[in-house]
Amino acid sequence: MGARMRQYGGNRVGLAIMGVFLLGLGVYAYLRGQDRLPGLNPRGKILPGAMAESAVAHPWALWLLALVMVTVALVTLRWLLLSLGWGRRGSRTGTGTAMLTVGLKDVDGLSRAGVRVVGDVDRLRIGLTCPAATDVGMVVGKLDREIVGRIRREVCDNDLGSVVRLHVKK
Amino acid sequence: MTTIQQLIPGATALTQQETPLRRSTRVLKPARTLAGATLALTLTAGLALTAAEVVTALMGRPLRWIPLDAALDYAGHTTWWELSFAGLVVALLGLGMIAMAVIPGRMRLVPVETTDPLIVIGITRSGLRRTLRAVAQQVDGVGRAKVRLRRRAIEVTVITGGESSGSMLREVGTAVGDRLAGLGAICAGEVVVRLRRKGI
Repeated sequence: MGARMRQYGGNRVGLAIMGVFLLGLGVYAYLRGQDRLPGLNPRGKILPGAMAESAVAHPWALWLLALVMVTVALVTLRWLLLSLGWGRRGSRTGTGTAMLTVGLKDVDGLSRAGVRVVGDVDRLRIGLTCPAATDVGMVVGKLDREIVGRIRREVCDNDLGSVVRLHVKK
Repeated sequence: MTTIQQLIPGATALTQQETPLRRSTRVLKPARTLAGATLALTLTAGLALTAAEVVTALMGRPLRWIPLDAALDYAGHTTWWELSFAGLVVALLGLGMIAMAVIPGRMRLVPVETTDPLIVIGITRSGLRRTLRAVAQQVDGVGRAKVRLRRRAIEVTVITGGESSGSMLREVGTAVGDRLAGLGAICAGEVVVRLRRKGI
């Protein structure tokens, strides 16, 4: 349960990895430029001539570099798609939505009610908008005690985590 | 599959001790979508273009979509000493990214207490403001009301006509408090009611 009921953490992992990389690179550049790293010349070129010549002499190294870049680009493309919601939005379940609206039939002006099953039946996502005059406490109580459990039992596994997003319109 | 509950006796009890706020924070904390998507897009585009440029250059027909030659030329002529302060900027940028990754951030949804540990309910901040404003405006004598959700308090400003009393303010405070209690919103702090008369 714990692993499922968690916000998507890919963006934080990606930010942390890039942050550590940039921090390391920046600190190295600063220390090297300020002659704080013994044995490394601060007046040395960022791309030494010897390295450029070596790359020209061994073109396979550049092919390897290109391969590494394409591989990392594919990983970051997957990250981009996931961060934009690919595979995380889930699919609507008509049964769940119907049960939600029936359960809240006493609430006037209910809109944007929807139930989604995320992933391979990993989690339920429920969205709901009600008018400002509604007793939101009553709606929350009904969702917590009756409706979500009922939907869970009907749509998928009873041990599934469910996240409800409640909005109040003007 | 062996679960942690099977491996460590008493782990189930530990899991059950998780507070509703902690559980909600874990689920509702911001996903850093904008920063993550921007960084992922930049990396994908940059790496793919550079790889394409390198491969086409190796094949003898460079695309010249990005100025790779100019960048290599610059790196070949610039010393580490010239870039040491730019390095500091890069380090600060990295530190900022680490901070974004580590700091939980303000939740977009205000968590609501639930009895079932498998259910997390959150109400949008604008939604909570609207429902509290609606309650405040139902009190006799209140013309209009504004609600602000501060970090440590919920500030309700009521705008009234000429005559208003302390009891009305108390009524507004009670009504807003009752709605919050009924909702079970887990937001820290007290309800502060302020009064403003029309025309002042």
